[in-house]
Amino acid sequence: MAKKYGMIHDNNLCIGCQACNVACRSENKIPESVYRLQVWVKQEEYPNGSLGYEYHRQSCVQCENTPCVSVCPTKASHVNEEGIVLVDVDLCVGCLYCVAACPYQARYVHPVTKAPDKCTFCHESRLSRGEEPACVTVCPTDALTFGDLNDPKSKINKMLSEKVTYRQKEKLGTSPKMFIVPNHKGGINS
Amino acid sequence: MTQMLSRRSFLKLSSTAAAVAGLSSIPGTLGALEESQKQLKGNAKFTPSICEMCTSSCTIEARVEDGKGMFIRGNPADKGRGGKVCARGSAGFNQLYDPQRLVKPIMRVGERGEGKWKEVSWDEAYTFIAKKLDDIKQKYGAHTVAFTARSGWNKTWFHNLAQAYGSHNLFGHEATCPLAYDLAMDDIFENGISRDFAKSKYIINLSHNVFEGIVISYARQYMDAMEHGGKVICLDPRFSTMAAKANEWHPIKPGHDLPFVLAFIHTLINENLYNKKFVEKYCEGFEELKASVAEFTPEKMAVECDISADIIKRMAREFAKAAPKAIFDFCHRVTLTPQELELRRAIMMCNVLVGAVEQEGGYYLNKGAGFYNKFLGEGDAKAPTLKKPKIPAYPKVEVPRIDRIGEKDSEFFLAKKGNGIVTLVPHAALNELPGVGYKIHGWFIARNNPVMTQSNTENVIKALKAMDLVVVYDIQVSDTAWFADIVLPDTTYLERDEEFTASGGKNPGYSVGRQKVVEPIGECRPGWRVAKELAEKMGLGAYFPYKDIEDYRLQQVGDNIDLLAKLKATGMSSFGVPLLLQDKKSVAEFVKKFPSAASKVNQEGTIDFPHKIKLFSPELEAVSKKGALSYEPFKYKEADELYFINGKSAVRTNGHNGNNAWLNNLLDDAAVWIHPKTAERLGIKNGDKIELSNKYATQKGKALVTKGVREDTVFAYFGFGHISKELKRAYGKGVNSNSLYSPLVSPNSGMNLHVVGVKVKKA
Amino acid sequence: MNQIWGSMEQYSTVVWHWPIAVYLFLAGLSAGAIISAIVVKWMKGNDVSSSDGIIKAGAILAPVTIGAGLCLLIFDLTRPLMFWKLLIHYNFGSVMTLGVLALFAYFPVVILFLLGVFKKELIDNGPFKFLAPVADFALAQSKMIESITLVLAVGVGAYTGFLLSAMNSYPLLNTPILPALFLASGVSAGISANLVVGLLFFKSSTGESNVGYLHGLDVKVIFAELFFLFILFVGMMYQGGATAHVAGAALSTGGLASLLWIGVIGLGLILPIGLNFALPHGVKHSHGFVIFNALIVLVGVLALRYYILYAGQTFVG
Repeated sequence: MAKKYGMIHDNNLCIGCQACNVACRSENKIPESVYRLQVWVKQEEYPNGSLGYEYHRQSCVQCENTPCVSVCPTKASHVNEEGIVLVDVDLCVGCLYCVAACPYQARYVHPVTKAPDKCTFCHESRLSRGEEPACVTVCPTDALTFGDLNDPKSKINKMLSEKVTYRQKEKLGTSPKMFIVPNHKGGINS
Repeated sequence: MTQMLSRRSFLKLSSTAAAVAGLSSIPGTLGALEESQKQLKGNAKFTPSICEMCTSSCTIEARVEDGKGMFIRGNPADKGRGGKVCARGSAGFNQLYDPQRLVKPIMRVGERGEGKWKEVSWDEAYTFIAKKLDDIKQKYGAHTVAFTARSGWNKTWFHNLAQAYGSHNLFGHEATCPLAYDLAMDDIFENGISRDFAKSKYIINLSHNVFEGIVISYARQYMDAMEHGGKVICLDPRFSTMAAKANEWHPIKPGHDLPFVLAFIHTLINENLYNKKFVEKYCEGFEELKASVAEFTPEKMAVECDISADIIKRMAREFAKAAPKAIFDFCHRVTLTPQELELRRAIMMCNVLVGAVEQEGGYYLNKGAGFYNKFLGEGDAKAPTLKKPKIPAYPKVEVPRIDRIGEKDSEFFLAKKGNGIVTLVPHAALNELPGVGYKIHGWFIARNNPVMTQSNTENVIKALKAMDLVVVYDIQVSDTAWFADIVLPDTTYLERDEEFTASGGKNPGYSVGRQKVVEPIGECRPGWRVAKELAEKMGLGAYFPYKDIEDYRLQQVGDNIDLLAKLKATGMSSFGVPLLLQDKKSVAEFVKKFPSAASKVNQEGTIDFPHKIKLFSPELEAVSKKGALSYEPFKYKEADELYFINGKSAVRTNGHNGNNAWLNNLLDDAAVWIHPKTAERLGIKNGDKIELSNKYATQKGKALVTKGVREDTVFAYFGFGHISKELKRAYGKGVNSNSLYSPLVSPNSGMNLHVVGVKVKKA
Repeated sequence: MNQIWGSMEQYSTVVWHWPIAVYLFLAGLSAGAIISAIVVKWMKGNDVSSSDGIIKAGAILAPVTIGAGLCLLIFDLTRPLMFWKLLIHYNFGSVMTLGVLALFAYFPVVILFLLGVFKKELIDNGPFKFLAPVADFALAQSKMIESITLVLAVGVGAYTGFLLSAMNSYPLLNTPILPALFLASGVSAGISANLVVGLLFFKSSTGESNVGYLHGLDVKVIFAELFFLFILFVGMMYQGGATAHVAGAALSTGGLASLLWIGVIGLGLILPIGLNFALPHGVKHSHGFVIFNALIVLVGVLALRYYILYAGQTFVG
């Protein structure tokens, strides 16, 4: 069965240290002015008055029902057999429809190719070598879990069956493959 | 397997400003180097090494990829760190190609701090330094030159050079970092200790923010503890990431940690929560401790530290209940009180009182080869020790060190000679310290940045300007190098091999140290080579009897080729099995592996401590009348000022990598945290430009209005406000914390004080 | 917490800028111009006088404005030299592909229309004699071509709305009302442009009744636009939650809200209607007023495109 790659970001383990941010940049040669991945840290105040930090992983959530692929006029934006959303730069004209259509603002315009670029789960670099994405490899607190959602024995499926997860903007029907384990202290901001 | 990095790909990888910066680079920097000299060769196989982006010195693996880039990850063989690196570790690659990095020796041609330089050859540099050192030796004596080398890199070489030269004023950076807990451990346990966070069920954390001042092994262990139901209490004047992850956060008053701990001990003793059997069998000085804390009731101390008596008592009870799987974390930072030594001793005594030592989830003694071997019997194999090459005896120095360590009555007697009290060097340059009899006339600084990291920047700069010789060895023109006479270019950690190291956790461990991933760029040279060549120039070559680092390493392992092979392959090795003296299971495993150790096991199936644990220090009593615990209220600030404190950010390391392009892009200007009520009172809104001022300095910053800090406190991340204009990205951005702190050197521990009063107003 | 994750400049939600707003205006105008020109040609017995100024205006405006718009679009691409890939690679699920295909067909037919209307000037007496058979074909099959053109023009006019409404990332744009609103305002713009060009450049051949008819039609279309705007915002308000919040913000925040109330609604919709009912018959049918009226309508339509594009991308809840 073909693979379907997904990822879990655990808000309880994430400490917002940006190790993933930098490793991604290093591994995928991201130009300095743009980012494929950031982790935003927001201070929250809970109903009982106590404070907390919420961690938001800002990167492509690899939808199954992809708005960016639907709107691309030349099929430059496409999904490969493993469920990863990619951009074929050769077909891209730079209309930026996909950038606008993405509800998660996951795409940026690459300063060199001028085509939209985004997180690809390190498809072209590490996955092709049989390694996990750079962010998962370096995360100091193991807040990221990566794997094949079609493999019942995979680590990611085990974790999905054990922990409460949610996905961002589920109401839009995009069916992201990026799952979030909510902070056990706060509420869920879907 | 080496790959060539093409010039084209190098340029593609450089920052967009690189091209411009290259046009206006000062002599000696990478930007000023000829294009043809920038090519480099690298290793495409993962090479185990050790990171140098901060002192945590985590194990890493690095390789050149596709001939164009580099990927750095942790070393998967390291179970404790899980093969992980943090943001700074991943950004280390940037150091290689930074156009602002120093690749040739430079000498100043103007005044100190003017920023005018000329390139010199290594030979010219050595000649200059050798002559100057000789001049000082003739005029004032070799001991008037202080040698500072960063722990974890360069001490081996430069402390050797110093002593061969005739100076015993050797220092590390410890007095600006963990020295106090080192001293406390030596005083109480006569050994170093570590914390078994992962198995602990109750941890009290006093501003030990391992999630921002990242120590990867601690961060993972804390997470482990919490995932398995461990409770973490965080006491910190500001809402750090640790506070966010902890079960409870209590904003303790800055500088008032000690009253909290004293009240804690008071409760443990007076409510009979301590482990009587353990204290009786293994400790001495309990009665003195009990008497000394009698007056520090929770009710009285609550007023001091701003934590209610009920909470203090509750925590003490919960702590005792969780014992032995309980840890009062003795932290890892520059001091928050002049009574730093008392504070760390008091904290450690809490664990001792409940018997949470040498069991799972508590403290344990560091067992390096020497210590571990003591528990082995005659018939067992012993843990190998690393050898040092044979060298001639050092010249004897008759006068005391500036910190008087080694003298019988030195208040700093607990500090090791290799660490010293580096915070005294600026003072010793400006004045003759009591009982010392001379001033410091020269400072040889290898990979340390006192202008940035020592309290009271003005004082440090004044001291540097007063000296006859200032030599800095660094990878960039740091804030200290800015005031140097000569700056020597070190290799980055990715470009050098280093000596093997030995350490001890629950059993002895060995590390390959650092290994080269790429050939050095420009004319950078590693410490082992610089020290050796400089020594040869000074006629002291006999003290460096090795050809190169490989030769040195071979001498270290002697004939233990197995150890050598293991280290080269995986980067680490260990000996024996983990040993926890008070844990029956661990002792049984230990005896199974080392049968003749059975003789050391006592009736209960555990092993006795080799020394009594000291709850009262006769030595400290003799030297400073501080054998027992005490509390001396200290005036940190005026009534109309706010407390100013700082801390570490996850994307910066103190004074070291603010200029790293990737890290600088993540955070280049640390805003000052201020409570909404305080901000309103001062008419300050979020994002406003503000001014922090006190009698030492005035600093400009930006306001970040947040409830995550006490109303009487303002906070800023440390490592900003750089002074060296050659750190072009970092120069002048953010608040320079150390310029606001006092030059105080704490009694008995020598540490700088990171609490001070400031007035805040809109700029 | 400090912003320790780097610059957030790349996350601006405004992806498409003023060139797209101008293109949407020009595309709508082109469609509207050709529609109103053909309507005039059909419904007022103008077949015989296909040299009516209004029709001439529409015949010129349609290809010229769509051509200009497409040039603008190409230069706005981040990879403009690759634009031709749009013409040979298709994704039928994408509104943009459908628009490309519609324009692929629309552009030739409006050229045909142009050649038919201006046969005398361009071919008989002009430099394009070699196109005579094409013009003859256009005139011979005029009814069929005009029918096809009408359908394609409605498509072009509406697709600009569908282009924006297909994105569920922008609550203000993700509504079925947008294509209707854009078509209506496109027709209005086309009518106004025809009137301006017709009265200014083809004055002699412009029939008064046609002017009057179009002007009256424009007023009705403007009412439709007002209605669509009303149900757009009121509908969003009643949807509650985040959608209502977005609508509220879009109606009241900053320069964009001012642009909506003053430029789009005030100048472009209320004022023309108001003047139409307030002014005496003589004034409101004078050429000067008609041109003035048409110009403010055009400004209003451009403002509408600009407002919808920017407000839609700015107020995302």
